[in-house]
Amino acid sequence: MLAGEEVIEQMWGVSLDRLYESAEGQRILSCIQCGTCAGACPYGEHMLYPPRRIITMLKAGLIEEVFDSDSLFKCVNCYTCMTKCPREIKLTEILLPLVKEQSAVRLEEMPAELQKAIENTYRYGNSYGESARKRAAWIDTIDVPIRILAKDPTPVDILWFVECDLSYHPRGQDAARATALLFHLLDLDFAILGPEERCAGDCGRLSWEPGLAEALVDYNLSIFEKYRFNRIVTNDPHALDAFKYRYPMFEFKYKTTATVPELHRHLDRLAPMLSRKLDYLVTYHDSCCLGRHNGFYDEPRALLEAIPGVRLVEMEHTRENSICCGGGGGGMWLDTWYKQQDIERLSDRRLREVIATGADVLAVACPYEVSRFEDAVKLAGYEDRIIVRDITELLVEALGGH
Amino acid sequence: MSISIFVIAEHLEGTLADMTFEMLGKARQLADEHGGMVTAVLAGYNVAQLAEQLGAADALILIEDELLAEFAPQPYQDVISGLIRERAPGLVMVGSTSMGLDLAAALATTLNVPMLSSCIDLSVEDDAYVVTSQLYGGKIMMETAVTAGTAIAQILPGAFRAEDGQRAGTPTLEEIPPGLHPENFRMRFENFIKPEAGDIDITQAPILVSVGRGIQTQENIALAEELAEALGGSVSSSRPIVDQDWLPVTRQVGKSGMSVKPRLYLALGISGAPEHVEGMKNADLIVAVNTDPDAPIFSVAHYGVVADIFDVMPALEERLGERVS
Ligand SMILES: Cc1cc2nc3c(=O)[nH]c(=O)nc-3n(C[C@H](O)[C@H](O)[C@H](O)COP(=O)(O)OP(=O)(O)OC[C@H]3O[C@@H](n4cnc5c(N)ncnc54)[C@H](O)[C@@H]3O)c2cc1C
Ligand code: SF4
Ligand code: SF4
Repeated sequence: MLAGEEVIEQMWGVSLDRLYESAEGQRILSCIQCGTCAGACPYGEHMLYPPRRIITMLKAGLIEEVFDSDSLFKCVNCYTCMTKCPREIKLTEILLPLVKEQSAVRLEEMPAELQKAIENTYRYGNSYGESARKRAAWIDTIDVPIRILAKDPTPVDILWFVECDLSYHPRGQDAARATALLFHLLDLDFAILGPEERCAGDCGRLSWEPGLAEALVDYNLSIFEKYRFNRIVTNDPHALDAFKYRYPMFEFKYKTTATVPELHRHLDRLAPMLSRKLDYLVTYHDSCCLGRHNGFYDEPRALLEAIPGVRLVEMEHTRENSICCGGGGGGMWLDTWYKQQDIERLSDRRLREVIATGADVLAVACPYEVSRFEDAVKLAGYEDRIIVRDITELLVEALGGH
Repeated sequence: MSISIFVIAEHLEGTLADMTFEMLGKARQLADEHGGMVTAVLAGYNVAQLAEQLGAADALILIEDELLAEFAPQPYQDVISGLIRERAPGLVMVGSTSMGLDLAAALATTLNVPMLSSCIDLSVEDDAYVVTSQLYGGKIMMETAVTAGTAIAQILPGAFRAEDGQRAGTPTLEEIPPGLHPENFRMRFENFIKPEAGDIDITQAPILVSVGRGIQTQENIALAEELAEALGGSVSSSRPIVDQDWLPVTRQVGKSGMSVKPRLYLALGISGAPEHVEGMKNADLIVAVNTDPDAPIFSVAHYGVVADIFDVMPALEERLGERVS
């Protein structure tokens, strides 16, 4: 995998018509048409133009035909093709977003769910269409002191970028509360932006609406400028991606990490606090952005193993082979569109692997996954056999006496 | 102040749209309270027979021409702007509909008069029409007073009751020549494309009987259908019902389905997941039936019943039957 900086350099200013002028364009020319990308893609069989064929068409000057198909609406930005490509072509990072943007423009009608999410994000700064003022309302539901920078702008070590799902979705708020408690117990110096925070413009939206993403980048950068902090920590792996790979193109300079690796850094202090035994057989679902794109495979597992009583079991596809929950790349707002194409949701497919492990708990680390998998559990009728929990929730459950 | 309101009638394929009656009803009420005239303006071709449904108006101005047979923005703007310039009514009511959106702004610019969009209420105070408009999708209301001259008000569908404007009786009829300038028309009506006859549109249903996984089997959906019929509503559902193909996707309420705002939303065996609530939280009245007293649906419901839906459904139906007979 390339270092973040190198990828960014390659992406800057790359457009389809000038693709071959860039280093990445030259790399695309080296494609050996092995088809690994198409074979590894979780929706490859449903795409008329999976990555390999996109490259064929591009070389043949027939890319317009690709734009006119809806193939890339089935791309969930899972980074599988890119991770597997023997030529290290940055498919998910560079080529696919460029093609997606054009396909979206030509689509006769944007799927209503996606349209609504994009409009809400534009208007309210979150896909839920909730008021920005309520973004920090969840902090009144716990006893942990949480500093909002607008109220107390003194310098802080960690700017905790909470993101939309943890701010507004009731199950996301469970993870927000758990995270806040853990940060507090670890004595981390952290603060949030509260109502000033807006969607980071995650990978999904970046690929469909680059203009909106840029507006969000501009906005968030203007807010970051107001305060002094050392680094950003976020629970949302998509936001991590945005800050790590896209924002630096706009002179963003902060170190960013995700909550899971941040907690892992403090494991020596955290582990002794985990005094309550949880007698669970747990399987962990690797989030695409956290795992494949950023290489955090061991940290979530180490955190889970630190909980007394927890035994880990792996699914058939795990770590870099993990199957996406289907929420990335805008998939979070295309469920009905998939259904109308008669395509199984990836969360339902993935759940079969979860069930096959015999685990009682499915542990996740990305806010999309809790709602997606809890819904899949209902549909499969497995509510009595398995529960879905964010890693932070499990850690809090294991805290003795807190 | 004496009322002088023009209502621009909307019709499609020989039928007057509800929008027309909604605007007429409100105009009539103001004229009854304050005195004055309500004039309906009917532009079209072979539409004279619609006059007998426009009894809520005092007068009807009929303008007929082949070029007005179907709505096209330019011919309509042409005849209506000429008429308004000549008669100078106080207020012109236009629907906030596909037709009205094409018409209102153009009339306002042509005549150089104010235009008020997204109006949901109208009253008369002292010497002014006071128009209430929605801003930010209804989060903020704005009141504007129109004191002199003519103003165009674009009325949101559903702001007033159509029943109030549905009165038989033919108003005084005045037919005027169209005086069109076809040489200026750069748009013309081609043909009318009808949507495929599909499933019912749950966003239009006044009452929704909505079922969730509590309904247990596909066969039981018939019970909900019966209840919906007794209530005069339609059946909608949560997503798992659609995922199991028990109902078509057109019936799904929520984040990845439809957003609905019926007068009554009866949630039967629906837990109230945030993705579901996103699509129905704005219903006028939400009644939830669930066996679980902690179900999140109760936090958005106006009335909650902790009970088994299989007890509640037949009991409700029985009561409704009694009321009918
Ligand atoms: C991205 C995404 C988009 C989604 N979009 C939507 C959407 O558009 N619409 C939607 O609905 N969901 C959507 N979901 C799914 C949502 O998260 C829930 O899984 C779903 O709404 C649950 O449906 P339910 O309430 O019918 O089922 P459950 O949550 O299982 O609830 C069933 C309820 O019935 C009650 N019950 C059972 N038996 C009886 C009885 N005999 N009498 C009375 N009550 C009884 C139970 O107590 C329970 O509360 C989405 C999920 C995701 C991840
Ligand atoms: S995996 Fe890489 S080299 Fe192989 S076909 Fe796909 S893009 Fe080309
Ligand atoms: S990123 Fe994932 S979904 Fe998209 S083309 Fe590659 S493998 Fe398929």
